[in-house]
Amino acid sequence: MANTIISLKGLSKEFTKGKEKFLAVSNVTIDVEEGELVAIVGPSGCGKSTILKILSGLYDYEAGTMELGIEGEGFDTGRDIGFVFQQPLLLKWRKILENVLLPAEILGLPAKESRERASDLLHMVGLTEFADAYPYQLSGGMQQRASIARALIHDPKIILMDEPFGALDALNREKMNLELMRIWKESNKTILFVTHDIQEAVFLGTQVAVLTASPARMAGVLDIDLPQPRKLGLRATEKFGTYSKDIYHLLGLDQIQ
Amino acid sequence: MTKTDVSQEIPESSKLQRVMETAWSKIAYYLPSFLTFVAIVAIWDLAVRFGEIKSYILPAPKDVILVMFDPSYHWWENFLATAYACVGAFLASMVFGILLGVLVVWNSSLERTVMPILVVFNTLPKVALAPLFVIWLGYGIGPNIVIAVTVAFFPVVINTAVGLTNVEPELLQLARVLRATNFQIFAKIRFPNSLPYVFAGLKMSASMAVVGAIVGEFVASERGLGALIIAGGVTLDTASIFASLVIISLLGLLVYTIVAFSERIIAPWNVRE
Repeated sequence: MANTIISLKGLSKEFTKGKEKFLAVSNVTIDVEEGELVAIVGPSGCGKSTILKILSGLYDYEAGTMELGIEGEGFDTGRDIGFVFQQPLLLKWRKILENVLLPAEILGLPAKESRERASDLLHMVGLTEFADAYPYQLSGGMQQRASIARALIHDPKIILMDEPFGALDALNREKMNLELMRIWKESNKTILFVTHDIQEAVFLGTQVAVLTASPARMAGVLDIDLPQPRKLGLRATEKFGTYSKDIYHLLGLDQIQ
Repeated sequence: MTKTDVSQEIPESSKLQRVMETAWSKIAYYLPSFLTFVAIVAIWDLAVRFGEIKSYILPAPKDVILVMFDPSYHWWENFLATAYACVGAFLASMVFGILLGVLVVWNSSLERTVMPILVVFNTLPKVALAPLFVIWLGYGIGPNIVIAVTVAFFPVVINTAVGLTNVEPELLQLARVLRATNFQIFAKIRFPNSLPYVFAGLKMSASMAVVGAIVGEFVASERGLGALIIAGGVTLDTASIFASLVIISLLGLLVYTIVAFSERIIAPWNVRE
């Protein structure tokens, strides 16, 4: 039933800083099934953003293998990946609807269908009223929702999210987590979600990949077996606590006195 | 920002009241600068009246105004000559400056060859170059415009280049993931991003074009307000110098206002406050 859409085996990447070489990511091995939401959690410098950039073709990698797309379906990074960054990165001079359309314009998708799709997506992220507003008229959370709509406009198979709610306050982040749950269910996309927040990772992820910094390596992958759709109350459950503790352990945080 | 339309619930009379209120708040906003201006003119007038200042040192405000209505100065022709040089120099600076800014960003070897020369050129006092242009190009409006362009084009080049480069790197990554062509990145991201910077440069350039046009007329023209000032200086006709200065500042204000107004239309997202 399920198809593997992302398969990473022993993926490693080096950066050179002056004469020194150091590992940005090493030995990342994970399989992601179609329609999963996989969280990648780790401290700054663990290379979690680097993984997204390798997946999207912005960076090369030195060792390991990377397979994208479902077997026999073909995969085109340009069309099949949507990217959401920590900052909304909306174009100040474009109205929200036009911002959502940007990838469609770059890819040369038919204009009329794209506009309809953009309206639908704005409806999905709850911004229909703001289609004709400029970005500065929106709050940070609303801007980020617009950038999620933008990432979906060309109907990509995989959405990469690089700490998308990292710039929001704690309450808005909770709200956006629930929103993302809903958007993920409605859009049926495969999502890779990078965060440094363990609670967020457990709450959102069907799997959580745990990365450590110095040395940058993958400490493990956890399957998160919590009922869908996730509700905020889950955070108070014992199971949720156990998963969090396991991640603390993998990160070595439980050994700090 | 909520988009509730409350205007329908408000009766006509209070709508008028609101218009009056905004009008008053605008007047209140500009009142201090207006009063300061009036006070300066009043002090000036009193100083001349009771301070026994000779009129070739400081003419009374009234005399300056009277000179402006003296047809023998051919104000309108002289104003047009300066305005023509100034607007011509501004437009040339705009076209030349934006083109050069784009080229410098487009091609890194151009940046390394052209930019250092421009920066060195910009350190020169352009006024000191004016006699050279007279030698090379002779008298008249043409050399005058060239002189004004050398004064006014630099901020446009620099601001265009900065505006085109100052793009969030992640935005470029986003475009690159989508495999945007360089032209798409330029047209959809870099160029619109540069507009507020370009306009800031154009505003500087507008004031500097006026300076340049006057400098040009000092050395290279028999017509225009700059030439009138030189003539007034020789004949100790101080009132005509003051009158010329008033007209020059009005011309500068006019050009600046046109640029600021165009910005409101072309880059409205930047002028929101």
